[in-house]
Amino acid sequence: MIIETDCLRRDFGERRAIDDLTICVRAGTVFGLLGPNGAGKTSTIRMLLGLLEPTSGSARVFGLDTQREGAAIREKCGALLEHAGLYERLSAEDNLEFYGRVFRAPAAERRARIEELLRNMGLWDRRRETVATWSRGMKQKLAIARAMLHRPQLLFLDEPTAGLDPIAAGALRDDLASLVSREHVTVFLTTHNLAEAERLCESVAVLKDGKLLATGTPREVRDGRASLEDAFRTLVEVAV
Amino acid sequence: MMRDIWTVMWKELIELFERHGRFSGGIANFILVLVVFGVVMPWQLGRAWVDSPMMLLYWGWVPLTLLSNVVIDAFAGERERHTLETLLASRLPDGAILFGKLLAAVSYGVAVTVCSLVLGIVTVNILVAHESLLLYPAATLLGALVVSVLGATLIAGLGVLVSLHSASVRQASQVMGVAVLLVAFAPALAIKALATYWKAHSLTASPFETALLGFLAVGVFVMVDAGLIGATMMRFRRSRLLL
Repeated sequence: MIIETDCLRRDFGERRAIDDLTICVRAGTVFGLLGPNGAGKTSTIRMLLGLLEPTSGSARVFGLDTQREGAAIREKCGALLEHAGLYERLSAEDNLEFYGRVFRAPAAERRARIEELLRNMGLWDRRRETVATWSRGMKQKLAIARAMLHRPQLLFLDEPTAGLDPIAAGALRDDLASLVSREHVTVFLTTHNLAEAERLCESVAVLKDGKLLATGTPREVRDGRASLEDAFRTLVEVAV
Repeated sequence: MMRDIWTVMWKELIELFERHGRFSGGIANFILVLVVFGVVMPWQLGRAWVDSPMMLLYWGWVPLTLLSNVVIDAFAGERERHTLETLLASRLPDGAILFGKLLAAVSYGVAVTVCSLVLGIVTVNILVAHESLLLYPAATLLGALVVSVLGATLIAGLGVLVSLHSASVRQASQVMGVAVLLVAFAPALAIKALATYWKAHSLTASPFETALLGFLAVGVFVMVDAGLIGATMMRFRRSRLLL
């Protein structure tokens, strides 16, 4: 298992954001954490990356404790978080150059990798443009390229297609799917787009108000219903 | 660690010099600063630019005016533009992020001082008629550099501390405005508060006593800077930076 959480809990004052979450993610798979807004998906990613301390419970990533060994975990992970997190005053190339340096890639290897990723994402011809002038879809693609730059073993994607029009979202999903299969990376994806989860994920977990409602393959969670969306709606309504 | 600090500094300086995606825009800004501090001011002050001891106060004051806007962007700006979380999710150690940002601001302030000193001496020699070549006295030059480094560190430390506590650049600017006022007027108030005897005595002090007073002032400056940097290190915790 690449990720294991055990009764993970996080409170923000009186509010419980994550309530005894226990999940496992196998290496080499795409795992989807599904849930409506405010379900606790982003807080879960933050705790797994060691950016947020749990109130109780524990989590291990690569067998490392997220509270004590966050730095070692972050070394092996790539992340596209809630926001693209790009330096908008800089060019696309400079954004990747910075993160390439952060992950200590040698200069020649870094340049080759930047070119490879930008070409794969169809952004190579616009690499010298300031990111501020780009569309949201292009920024998300660049952010995924940045997250993949150092060939991470585990990729966290927090709502990667949120706010994109259906065509841009579809294009991003295609790019993501081909990138994941090419690079053999484990993906921890959060989304409330269930069609996306059904298409990309080998296993999913459904979260509502921090509570785990169901987990398994999309087929298991669907449990005979027509789509994952139907199953999700039923699970969430029952939980209310 | 040093390599990581340099990486953060590199990013900070690139961002500082980029304006609307144009490197030349940021350089133009820097040149404008140098024209004011390295040409206009020496031209106005004439010979006093070179040998007045009051210039030491000036070199302590320059970073106040230049760096406060630069440093408040360090964390408050990154938080506001949603780049901070991604930076924190990288492998960079806490110290590299903090010191990379601090050193970028300090190096910018010191670069302005050094370039202004060089430009200033050229300006004074060209524009202020004098028979022989004017040069900075060694003590003034050393003092200007030391005061500039300490002043830049003070403002960088203060700015980063304010920036760490602020949710937005606007909030940080408001707090920093008050902090800069206090820093700017504190020495004047302290001198005013000195007893008449001490004031009279300092005017007639021997060179040895003046040097001792200078070292004492530098010592206090260093301690304040160290205290501020210590406070920023204590405040810098990844889990506390995500508001």
